[in-house]
Amino acid sequence: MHLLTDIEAGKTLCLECEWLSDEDERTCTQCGARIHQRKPFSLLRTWSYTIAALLFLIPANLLPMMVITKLGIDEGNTILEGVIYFVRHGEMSIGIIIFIASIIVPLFKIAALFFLLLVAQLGITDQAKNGVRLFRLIERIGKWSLLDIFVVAIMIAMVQFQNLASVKAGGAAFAFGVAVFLTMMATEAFDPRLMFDKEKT
Amino acid sequence: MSVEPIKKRPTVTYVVWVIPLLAVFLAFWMLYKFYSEQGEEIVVTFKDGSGLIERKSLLKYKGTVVGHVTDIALSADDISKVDVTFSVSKNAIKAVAREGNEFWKVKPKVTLTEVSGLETIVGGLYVEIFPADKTIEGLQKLAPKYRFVASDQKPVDHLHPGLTLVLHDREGRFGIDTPVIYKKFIVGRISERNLVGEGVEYVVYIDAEYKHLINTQTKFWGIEGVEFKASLAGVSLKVDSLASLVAGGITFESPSCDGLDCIPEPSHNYLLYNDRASTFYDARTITLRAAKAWNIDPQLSLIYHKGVEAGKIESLAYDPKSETTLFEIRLKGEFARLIKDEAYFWVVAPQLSLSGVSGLDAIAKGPYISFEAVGESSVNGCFKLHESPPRRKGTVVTLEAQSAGSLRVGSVLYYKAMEAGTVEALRLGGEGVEVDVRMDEAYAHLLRDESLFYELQAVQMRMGADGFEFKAATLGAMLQGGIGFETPSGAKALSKSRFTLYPDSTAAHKARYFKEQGVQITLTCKDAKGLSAGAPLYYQGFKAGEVLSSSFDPSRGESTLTLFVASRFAAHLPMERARFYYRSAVDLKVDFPNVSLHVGELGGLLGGAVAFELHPEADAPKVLRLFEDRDEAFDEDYRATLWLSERGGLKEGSKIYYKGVEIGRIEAFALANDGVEARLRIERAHADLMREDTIISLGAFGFSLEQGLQNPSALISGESLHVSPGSAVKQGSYYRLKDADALAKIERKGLRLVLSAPRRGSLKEGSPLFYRQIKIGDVESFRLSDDMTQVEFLVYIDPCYAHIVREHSRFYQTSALGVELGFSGLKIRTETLETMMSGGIAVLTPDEPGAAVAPMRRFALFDEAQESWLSWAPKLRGSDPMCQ
Repeated sequence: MHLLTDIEAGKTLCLECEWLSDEDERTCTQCGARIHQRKPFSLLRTWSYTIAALLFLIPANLLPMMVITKLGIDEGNTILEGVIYFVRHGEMSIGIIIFIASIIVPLFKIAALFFLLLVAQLGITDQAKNGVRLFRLIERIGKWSLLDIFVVAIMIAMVQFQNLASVKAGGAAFAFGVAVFLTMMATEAFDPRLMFDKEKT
Repeated sequence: MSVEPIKKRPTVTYVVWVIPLLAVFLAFWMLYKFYSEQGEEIVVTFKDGSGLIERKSLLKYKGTVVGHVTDIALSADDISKVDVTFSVSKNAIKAVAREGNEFWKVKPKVTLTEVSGLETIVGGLYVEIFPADKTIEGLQKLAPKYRFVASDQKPVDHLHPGLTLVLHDREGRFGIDTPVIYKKFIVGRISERNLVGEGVEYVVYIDAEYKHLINTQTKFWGIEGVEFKASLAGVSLKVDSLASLVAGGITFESPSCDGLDCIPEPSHNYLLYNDRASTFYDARTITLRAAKAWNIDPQLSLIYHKGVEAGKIESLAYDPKSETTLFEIRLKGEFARLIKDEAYFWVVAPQLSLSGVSGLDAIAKGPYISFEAVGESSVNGCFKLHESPPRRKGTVVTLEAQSAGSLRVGSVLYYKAMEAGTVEALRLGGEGVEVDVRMDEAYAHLLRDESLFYELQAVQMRMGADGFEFKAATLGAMLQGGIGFETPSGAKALSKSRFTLYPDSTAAHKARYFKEQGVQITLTCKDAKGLSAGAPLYYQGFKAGEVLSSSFDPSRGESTLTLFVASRFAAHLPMERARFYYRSAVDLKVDFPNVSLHVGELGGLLGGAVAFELHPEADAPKVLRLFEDRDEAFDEDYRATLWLSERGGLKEGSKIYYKGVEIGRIEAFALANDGVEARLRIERAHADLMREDTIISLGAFGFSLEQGLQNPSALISGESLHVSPGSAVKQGSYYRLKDADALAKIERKGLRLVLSAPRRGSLKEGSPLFYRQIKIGDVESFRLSDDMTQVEFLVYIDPCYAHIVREHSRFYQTSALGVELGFSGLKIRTETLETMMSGGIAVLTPDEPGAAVAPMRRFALFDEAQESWLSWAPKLRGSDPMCQ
């Protein structure tokens, strides 16, 4: 089954008001927004964001997420150690949630982005429909991956008992936050329509 | 398809790739930074890894964290030890991993001497590092080292080098960390203790700042915290600092030392003495050879020299070969130098004889050894321990006696019951016995030509026609026999060496009186008070004679005393005026606030004495009576009797005052006439105060707001009597006690008025009368008027203020307390604090005062003042010159 694309029809879709203007138009004939047939440099930007996100995931998982100072002794916990900590202390559900939100989701998102990029880059149009489904999924769950940052933020705010115990954000919090932000940027930059195009712009 | 975007493409492409490049850089920089701060590892081997926790326990230097434990494992080479791996922070590793650094585990330590490492109770144990050098540069020059062996104890702070000394002791009394205390400051500690040969060696570390306290002459000794010494001389409990109480401690004393060899080199050797006293002892011992041990306890008995503790007994041994006891003694340094070749040692053992002073202290101290330093050349070694003290120097006289009696060699010669010499030899000679007596040099001057010697017999009893005589000598003489001697004052210097020894003092005295001229006076007395023959007679503190005999006459119930008065007194004094009285040895008078203790002459101390004084008046009658005391002898005081309903607070000795001057006292009380009769003794000089109409009142302690304290001294010294003399010509001898208040009122002169009011209010006797808030009088009494419609107050006005009250004066009650509550608030008014409590009367005189009032004039007493009265301000001038 072949679907007619806007390029084939010589039209440009306005992403603001979903009005189809002619190919030649630079602005939407209905709402006046700047329009492109495809997001400019979409694949390029997505690639760079995705790779950067992947790189940031490395320190995010190796460095301590939060530093708990108990009675003057610092104790750093990486994301995975945090999960193990919760599981060990009987908080299985919280452990699983953090595990999913902080490890599965970011990794899944990056993997999915690579899949989408490959689909778009190589023009595997057969997978375009799956790609769109995947794209919708990662768009939806993307924001949940900041859960771990929330946990750290809440802990920092709540556990401040001066000398007795206090929590500080570790290096991983920053790296993780940047990684999640970059995946969101990548998702934003990706134009799923590219997957359906046979001819690449 | 548009062309323009394609043209721009290459630039954008490159720009976009900056993001992952930046990501690479940032991500790896973060990782690098994190791991670079993780630090390097060092391994420290501990004997015991308890308390250290992986990833928790810290490595600290002066409280700052330089690393933490990453791994604890049994040591590979020695399973009895533990290898602890520390991750040391990157910037510290260069200083930490250096040859010479020391590590030790800080544990909480709470002892009496020290509280340290308390933070480890909460924070867990930690390991402390002691760097080998003070500076980072210095440390970095040292060879790197990554394996260390931890110290067991806190290492000595060698960055601030103190002084390390070695103390030698016989036993290991002190543990590691025992403080070295100097004037209650902890100046150092024992850092090591080792067994060395027979003894123990302590390595002592003295902190740098106290280093100067030590010199080569310093003596160290151990302190045991509590020192308890008990002897009959007293109990002394000395508690050292609490720290040393439990842990013990070492202290020292540094004699001043000059010169180069005073500064001790490190590890200088010292001896650790047992106690401070033993630091004074000379190193040499002296051996004393004695026939027996005299119960001398080598642990407790001491050696004294002239009463000063001079040494101690080291050991006591019995030598079976020579059948003697050998004492090893050690003397204090300064005494050891006194010991010369002829030093004389003797034992002072307690003697129950009480014959002398010498033995008495030994009861308290136990037998002890004393010595006298004689001789020239210094010599060490063996001395004989004598049984008796060395013979004293002194004058030897020979006494001729009928028989030796109880005398023997060693019997004591007493002078006024004081030991003054000893009997040296007894031999038959002439018709009787010759006794050689050595007088102590100190008493030799007492020996005169007229000296009388007599035998002191234990108990002397004589019954004769004139009475019964019993006499006991001193306890010492009682057991040993003794010789007493007396020297009359003013005797000539010694010119002979032979004296007669009389069998008893009476005989001696009789013999003397035959020699000396004097007068005998016979007195009668109710109570001889233990006076016996020989009791001295004093005149103005001089011995003027003595009691020759005393006897009791049962038929008359009186005693007779025969006194001898030396002629040099009797001849020049008008003896017919003499009053003789008993002179008690000790006279204690407690007379608040003075306490006077009068101790009589020593001679009279034991047996009492008789004294006499001359009556001041030339024509005084001759009284041959022995009075009980001086007071009685010269008592010519006036006696009167006072009747009281009850004795109350008065007692015998309560004083009688006139205008605050003591004029007499109460002598005795007797029940009489349904009351008490007090016998008053008024000093003779004040006898004329006691007229027939004299009033005697009680001065008791009182307190009132108005008058303050009354007779405050009565509170302490008891109540007293006050006399206000009358004017009658005749002297009185019988009085009744009058009320003091009534007396005061009768006495005062002034204006008296009568005020009448419908109610009494809060007025009472004594309520004040004010004029412009100044008290000018008071209420003397009140009563109901004759018709019972009014209350009448008798008001007294001070004569100085009498002129204030005029015909038109108004009297009103100053209410106790006026409280007005209004819109402006609460208003409290009262005249004075005093009226607030009890109320009073105020008087106001108008500007036209009117004529002066006559006594007992009646006025109305208003409840309160009218407003207009308060502005009255008459000018009233008094005329009485006494009031100006």
